[in-house]
Amino acid sequence: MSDGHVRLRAITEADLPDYVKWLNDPEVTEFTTLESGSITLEHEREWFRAISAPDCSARNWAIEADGRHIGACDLVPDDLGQKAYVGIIIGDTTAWGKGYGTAALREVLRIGFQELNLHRIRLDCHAGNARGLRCYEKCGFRREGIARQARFKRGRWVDVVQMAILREEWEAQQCSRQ
Amino acid sequence: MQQTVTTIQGERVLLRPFQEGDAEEAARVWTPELTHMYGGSPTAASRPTAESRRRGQQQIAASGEHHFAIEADDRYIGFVGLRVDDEEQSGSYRIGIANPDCWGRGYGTEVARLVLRYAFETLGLHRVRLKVAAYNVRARRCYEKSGFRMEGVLRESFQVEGEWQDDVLMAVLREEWEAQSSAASAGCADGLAIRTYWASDYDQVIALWSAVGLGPDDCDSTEALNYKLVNDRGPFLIAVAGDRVVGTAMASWDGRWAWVYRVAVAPDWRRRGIGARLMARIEERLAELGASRVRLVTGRDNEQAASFYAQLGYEVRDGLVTMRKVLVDEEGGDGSQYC
Repeated sequence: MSDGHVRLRAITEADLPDYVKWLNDPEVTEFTTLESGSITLEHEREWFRAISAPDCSARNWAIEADGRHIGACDLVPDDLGQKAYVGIIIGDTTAWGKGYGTAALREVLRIGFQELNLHRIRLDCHAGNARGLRCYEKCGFRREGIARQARFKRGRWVDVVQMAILREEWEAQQCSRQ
Repeated sequence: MQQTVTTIQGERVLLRPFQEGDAEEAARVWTPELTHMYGGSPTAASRPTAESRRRGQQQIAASGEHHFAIEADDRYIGFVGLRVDDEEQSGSYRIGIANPDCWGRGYGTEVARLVLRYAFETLGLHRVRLKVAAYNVRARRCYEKSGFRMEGVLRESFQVEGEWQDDVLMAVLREEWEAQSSAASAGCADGLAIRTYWASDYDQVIALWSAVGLGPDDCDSTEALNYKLVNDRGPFLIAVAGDRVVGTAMASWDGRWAWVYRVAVAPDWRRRGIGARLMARIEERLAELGASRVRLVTGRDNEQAASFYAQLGYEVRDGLVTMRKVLVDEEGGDGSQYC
């Protein structure tokens, strides 16, 4: 599971049927704000048009592991370009638990801090998403708070963990990983 | 969700739609500190024009945000808004009291209580949240008083004059608000309230600790207690009778260990269960944060403390000693043994 097997690339129209399939899998959307069953190819085309627009500040990538399309992630900078929000989904459930998400996220952090010169990157995670929390902590995200009962998901209120990593923390981590 | 209520009358404030003259008043009373409270630079900011304030008010009115102008003594003193997310049944609260003559007079607390009632009773929301600059201690105190609880700290979240600053996240849930408003209407049986320590309680808290022989120590400076408040998610609670601080209990939580410190009750308020109530709230909050056990240190010969903690279910752990080393010897810092 070396990082070498995972790469980020631009999303193309040919990827959209994969997203329709993944996002209609309730297992995949369990800890997301999306709800399966209602996602159509037309939705995904609309989304693709929006992220391809020249004024779209968000960066979106498809995630490939060993040449296979397994998921997607995005990095959404704020207006000043100092901070950003990151989101990630591994849609191919056979690719779970192999460290691919961690490798992809590390690459997103590298782009955010090294290329975009960000100061801070944050994310949200459902408190029950143990696999997600472990992955984010492995990447160096720290828990900053918990938004209690902030989302209603499948008939229940769920807490949402707020996590972030600062530039200085990421830099220190690069030194220690070398 | 459309705004149907446009006017709410409180005891001292009136919440109403914007009207002629509000923009002029907002521009007139503006001070750089107001900009700073919102996370802007106080030195770079310049006085807004009435025209820019009018445009701002028009944008708010057009945005769908629930909003009110705040009036006190027949004058416009500020603005309050609640942005509702229908899907999450939650609201995002913001307030600005523009007139500095009205700061520190409890208007913000009254407005928050009125808007929370509107949010939970009229709009039927589940949760109301807000974000506040960590250094804005006055606002945070007001929100605590209004029922908001701290949920987290966004580290280095914005910049003021080149320095990164933290934001504090706070929220109040419908069930908390209901419990609080029914307690308030029932009237607290013994007139005693337990709440989070605020920076303005400092003098009274120090006096209480001195009276019971806990410090004050060099670790009890205003800065140290403020640091604890901002950077440590463990609760720091006080018991208040009227205006008087009669008890304290503090805990620290680093994600792994929870420690309780400075459990104190004023000598003339003992034997009324205040200590036990403080401890119950401390334990409740620590459990919410994810602590599975809690530790504390007490004097070997302090039998009163030993039986108090034993009754609450604490066990003495044999074979342990507490150790301490002075890193920086500050004058007068001989300190209390529990610090």
